Amino acid sequence: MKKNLLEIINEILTSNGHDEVTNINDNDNLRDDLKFDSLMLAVLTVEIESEYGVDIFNDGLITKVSEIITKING
Amino acid sequence: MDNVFLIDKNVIKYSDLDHYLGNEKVDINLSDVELGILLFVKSFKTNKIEFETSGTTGKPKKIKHTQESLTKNIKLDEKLKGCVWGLSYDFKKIAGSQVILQSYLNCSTIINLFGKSKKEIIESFNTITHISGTPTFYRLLMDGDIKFKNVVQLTLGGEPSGTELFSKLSYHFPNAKITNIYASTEFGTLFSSRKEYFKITEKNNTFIKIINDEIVVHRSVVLHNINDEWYHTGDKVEWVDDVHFKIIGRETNMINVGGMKVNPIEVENKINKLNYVSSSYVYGIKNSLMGNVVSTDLVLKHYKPIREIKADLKRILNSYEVPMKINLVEKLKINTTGKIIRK
Repeated sequence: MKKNLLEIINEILTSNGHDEVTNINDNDNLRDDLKFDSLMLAVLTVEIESEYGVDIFNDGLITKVSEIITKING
Repeated sequence: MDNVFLIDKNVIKYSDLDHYLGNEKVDINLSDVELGILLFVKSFKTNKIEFETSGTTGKPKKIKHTQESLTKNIKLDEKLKGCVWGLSYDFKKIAGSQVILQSYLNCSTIINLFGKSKKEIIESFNTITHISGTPTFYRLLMDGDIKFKNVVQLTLGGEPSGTELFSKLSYHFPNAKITNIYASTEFGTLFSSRKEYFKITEKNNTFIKIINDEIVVHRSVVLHNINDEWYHTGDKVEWVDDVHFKIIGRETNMINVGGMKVNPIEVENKINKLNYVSSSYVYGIKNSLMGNVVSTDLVLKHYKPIREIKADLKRILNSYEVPMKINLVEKLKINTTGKIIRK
């Protein structure tokens, strides 16, 4: 699942003119470390929802990779 | 004098309508749609006419019409007798009725295109001289280098159009005079123009106003009962200069992306400029972060990877307009009046 998440994140990064990352860590901050802006975060929610059926922002803001994984795992 | 008109090559006399509509065996073979056209003509002659609105933005409403209200924009001319009308609309809807009446009252030919395949429709254009349809109808028809040289009059309405559509229509219908109309089942035709823009004229400024960029019409021209003096159509305009405006769609169709209002029609017009896109439908999907985000269903002329489409969309659209979800579909859902069904 983490590999799939990495693919989604890299897809968003490259289509927004950023470089790919080779790996993601649980403590990575989406905005500070991965350079996500609001629109990129919105894309992330759409992609994760269509892949896993989970709305990761439905009860508050997510800042870290670990929080996404917790949400997906339910 | 008895009216005679033709459905495809069948000569129909009004005095024979009951004969065709009855159970007796008739000597010509009419399809259900062609019989429906005859039924409509009969209801017109007996002045008992009722239509449903298209229901593009809600539940369809039933609206009563009269011979007078239906024929106020019908042109009668001896020269129109030899015309061949293409009926792209459902005969049960007001837009279809206008095409049928043009044909019937001028004793000319009508060919049904509604519900036909693209191939059949294209073949019918070998004889059609007059055509009326929605922007969606034309977009789905215009492919590659195809030219419809027989058409001398082309009318479009029912949905907002854009510059991109006008240049494509001029290319694919090189001999046609193009007329853009703004009409509805509830008040008939209000504006017509040769371009994508309209203007309020001296003829209609007593019953049409633009208030807060919305088209508002006086109750005297609305065909159903309303309490207020002015009826708010919900159709928004954008001014292009001091007198001309274009219709940009309904306020309720706007997508609010994190506070930025996105007009789906404008985004569709931009997307449709891509040479590999046949047609597009842009809509909002709920998003917990932004309120809504933009999504699109695309019909492509030929396959293109989504990654490449995304890159093109980023190039031609503002960042908040870029569809975050792209669905490649074989065709768009279209209602019986030929308009895209908007969720």
